Amino acid sequence: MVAHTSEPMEAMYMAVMTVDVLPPNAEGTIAPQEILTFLARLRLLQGVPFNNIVPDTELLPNESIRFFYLDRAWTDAIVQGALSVATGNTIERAQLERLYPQIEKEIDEAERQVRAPGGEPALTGEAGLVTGFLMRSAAVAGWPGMHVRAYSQPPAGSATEVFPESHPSRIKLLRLERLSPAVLLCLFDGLPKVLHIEEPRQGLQFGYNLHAGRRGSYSATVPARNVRSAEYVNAAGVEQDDPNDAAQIPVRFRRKAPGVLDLTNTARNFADEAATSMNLDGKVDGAEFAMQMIRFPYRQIFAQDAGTTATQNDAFKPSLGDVTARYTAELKARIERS
Amino acid sequence: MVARGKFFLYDSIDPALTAGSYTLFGDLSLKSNSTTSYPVDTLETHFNVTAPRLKLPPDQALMTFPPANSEGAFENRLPQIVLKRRTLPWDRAAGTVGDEHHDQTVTETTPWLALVVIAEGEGQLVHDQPWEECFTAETPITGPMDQPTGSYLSVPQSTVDTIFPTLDDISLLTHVREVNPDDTENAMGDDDGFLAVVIANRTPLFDTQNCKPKAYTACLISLEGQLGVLPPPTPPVPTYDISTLYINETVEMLATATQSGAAVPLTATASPRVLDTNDNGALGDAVRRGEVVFHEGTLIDRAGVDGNGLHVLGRLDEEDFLSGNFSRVRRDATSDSQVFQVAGSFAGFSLPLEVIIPETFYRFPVLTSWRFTCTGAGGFQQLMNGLDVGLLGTASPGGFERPLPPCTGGPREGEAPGEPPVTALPLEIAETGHVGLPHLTRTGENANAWYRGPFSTHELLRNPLADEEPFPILAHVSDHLRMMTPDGREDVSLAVAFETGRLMAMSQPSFVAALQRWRAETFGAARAKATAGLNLADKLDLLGRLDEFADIDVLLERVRLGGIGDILTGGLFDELDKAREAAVSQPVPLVRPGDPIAVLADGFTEKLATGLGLDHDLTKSLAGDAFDLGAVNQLKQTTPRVVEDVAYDVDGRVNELLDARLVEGVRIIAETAVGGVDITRDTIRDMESFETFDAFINDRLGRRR
Repeated sequence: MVAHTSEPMEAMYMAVMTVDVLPPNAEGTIAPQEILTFLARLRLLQGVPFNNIVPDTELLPNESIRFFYLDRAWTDAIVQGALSVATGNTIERAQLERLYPQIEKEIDEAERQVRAPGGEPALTGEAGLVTGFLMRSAAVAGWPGMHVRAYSQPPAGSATEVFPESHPSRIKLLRLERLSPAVLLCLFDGLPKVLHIEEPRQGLQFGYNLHAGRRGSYSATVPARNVRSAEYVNAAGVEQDDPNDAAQIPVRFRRKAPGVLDLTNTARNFADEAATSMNLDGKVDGAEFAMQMIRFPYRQIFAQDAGTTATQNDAFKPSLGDVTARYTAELKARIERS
Repeated sequence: MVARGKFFLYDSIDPALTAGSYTLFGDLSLKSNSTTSYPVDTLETHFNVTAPRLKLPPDQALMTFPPANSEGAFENRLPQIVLKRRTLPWDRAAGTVGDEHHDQTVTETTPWLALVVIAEGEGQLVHDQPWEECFTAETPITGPMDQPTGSYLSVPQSTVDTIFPTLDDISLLTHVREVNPDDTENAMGDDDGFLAVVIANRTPLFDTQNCKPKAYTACLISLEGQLGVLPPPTPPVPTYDISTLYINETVEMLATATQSGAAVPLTATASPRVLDTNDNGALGDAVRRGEVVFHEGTLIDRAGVDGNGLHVLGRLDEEDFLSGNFSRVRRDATSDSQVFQVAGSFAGFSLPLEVIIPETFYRFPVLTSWRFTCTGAGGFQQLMNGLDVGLLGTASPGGFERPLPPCTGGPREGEAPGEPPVTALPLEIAETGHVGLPHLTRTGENANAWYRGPFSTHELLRNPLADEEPFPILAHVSDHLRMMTPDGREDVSLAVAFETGRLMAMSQPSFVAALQRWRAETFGAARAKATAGLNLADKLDLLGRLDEFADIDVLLERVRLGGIGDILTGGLFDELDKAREAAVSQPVPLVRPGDPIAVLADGFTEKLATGLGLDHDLTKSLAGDAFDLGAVNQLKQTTPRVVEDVAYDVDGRVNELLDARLVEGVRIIAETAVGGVDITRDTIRDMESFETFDAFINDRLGRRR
């Protein structure tokens, strides 16, 4: 019997079926940049219907913040779905399958370049663990542009210090976006130990601490600052870290005009508090007044408890115990009601 | 240079020259040793120092707080605006330095700008008016205007007295901040790092009395020439009372009317405006400007107010109004006495207060204004402290209650407190973050499937089943990613992800086109290259042959015409044809001959004739020439005979093999039946009997195994 396939024939057949290597383009990737950009955005869930992200409102109730790990298998699946478009025949699918590991690497690179803040070095490296949070609150709607900073270590330095995004303890943001007026989505390039959510700086804000008295009566105070050092001081002039420990200077209001400040008399109160060092020249100017009234943006700190979350290789381990208990409770409640 | 994140504060930065017209005189005196003097003419140059006056240039407002058109709880923060030009609040002189108003003195640091925050009903904001209208009558204003028209704020005396800052206050409310211009968070787009800040003297409040959000407008007003209007200082109070939220009854009435849509009685008289209802164009313009409104079949002229109220132009069909056809406005005798107030968002700032409130009114040019709504008590801190914190799978049925102003706390009297009605069973949430969702399967079955979005409560491996059963490297259809779970329900999470990605890609034609282009060009090229490389691998002298092309001129001509590809193709095909077997393959024969049989080699036709029961001569002639008509005819007439019983000893060895196999087979059957290797009379007699066939099989075959 004669052999009817020759070695060149087999090799050529394989070559037609699959392409192991594509020549890199000008950017050094095998996939065109426009495709990589689209897929990287998809990885960061841009444009993904919110229903697919949070399948039930009970998972994200009003006034809540929910932390999570990003499921890489899910984002890989969404990329594969996008790549599956326009594959006409088996050859193209086979080629795609051969090339996919390389494409996946390139998307890993590209996904960190989707959000590139100016003046910060670009991020590179393999795609690692991605975490994040969803926040649904009136705070998101009322304070657009709030600052979110994640740290791998509790940041050293004073409480008001802000580190640039390139600081080694900062965890980079992959995405920070308002999905709807009141829902904020944030993705981190790692697992933060400490998370700061801060009132938008928008410059600085001026205000006071409001104290509710009885029956709709309100008073207000301002913690004293030494205008020379800008630090909080108590009545003895000793610097304080906590504004609550500082001397509290009362704010004066205009009669029959809720919310309207009597600035002249409030300024006099500032000057009368010796610790502020304001009465040296006998008059209060706008800068000194502003210094007392500056309210640093409020910073909410979320910190993870000690201990590490073990990697869990559980694609699925439903624990039905809780669910059953809840159904039972619900059933009982209904029976009692009827 | 200021460090990043730090800042300096300055009370004020005075411009070298305030805005106005100046004349520059230049005198030069020349002297020489001689007694002769050389008189030089005085140089007289005029120049203007300009500054914004009626309108803030759009690039000057770097930031406003609260953000424009925002809603939120801003109760303990003072509204402010940050200006780009550091000297802007002092670029103009609001009054003469040294003047005294209410025992307060105008100084060099007195700004000409103030930020006032007015609530609904406290003032009227009017846009696009001639500049003369923008100031209170008889205000001493000189110098050129930067705009022919401007906006103004019209406020009654009571508003000024209650909420406007005093002369001393406005100096405290302005300052300059120096920041690092590279600090994007603090500099906010400024170029030199110096920012002027104007703060308001009033914090917005939530209306806890009526339990309603309260709308405010912040106006950056010019105080030029009107410092004397500012209120006198009053004895301070340490607390304020929310019951005096509205500065007087009129304001309260107006504010509530704008929300409820109640009628506003007008007490003053203004000359009625004549609007020709037959002029479609004029009416259309008035409608666009919002002066003429359509309310329940009635056309109302809001601008033309008179002592009886808003001026009713007449009745009109809705259809006619929408099509802009005003020729069929019906005037009836009673309509003139009707009074309407149309409610609307922020309508309270455009009420014609000057014809409603019998007080002295003042007008201040408004350089810029923005609106915001105070919708809750407290602020950012309270909201953040009240957040419900958890991992994504944490369920809190019914949601978390937002901290509300005290007025909304607790059920009112007479209302039965109770749980909200339960409309659905609690959500089924697994510890992994999966939720059970209704699933209509392809077979039409109403099932329940597990689903988890891209967010999980646990850190997950990228390939979850890597150890047990690897996922396909690349899923081609979503069904590749469907999984069954231990509880028998399907987990469609990844399948849904795949399908979402596919649909999103298909929704973007540009992406689909890019994919197709990529496949067609790069994939196709790589394929062609791989194929061509094989074919040319041992034909590298092909180009050498081209060099030896007989007539180099012909070759060059072909190259010029672009025919070099044809030459290469032709040469390639030529070469391929010459060495077809090595380069491509040898053609597969249409029919493969069977293996030759040695026995049939001799006397084939004879054996065939015997086997078929034919004459030997016939088969011989057929084998010789298949188209011999005589032989065919003979074949047709032949009656097949009974085949003779002829034994051909094909090969004696075959028979031996078959016999040996038969003996072996029989031996195995016998041994199995008897249950022993020795088959003798004794062993057959001593064979044990079995209850069942299974027991027999077990005994025999089990032992052999």
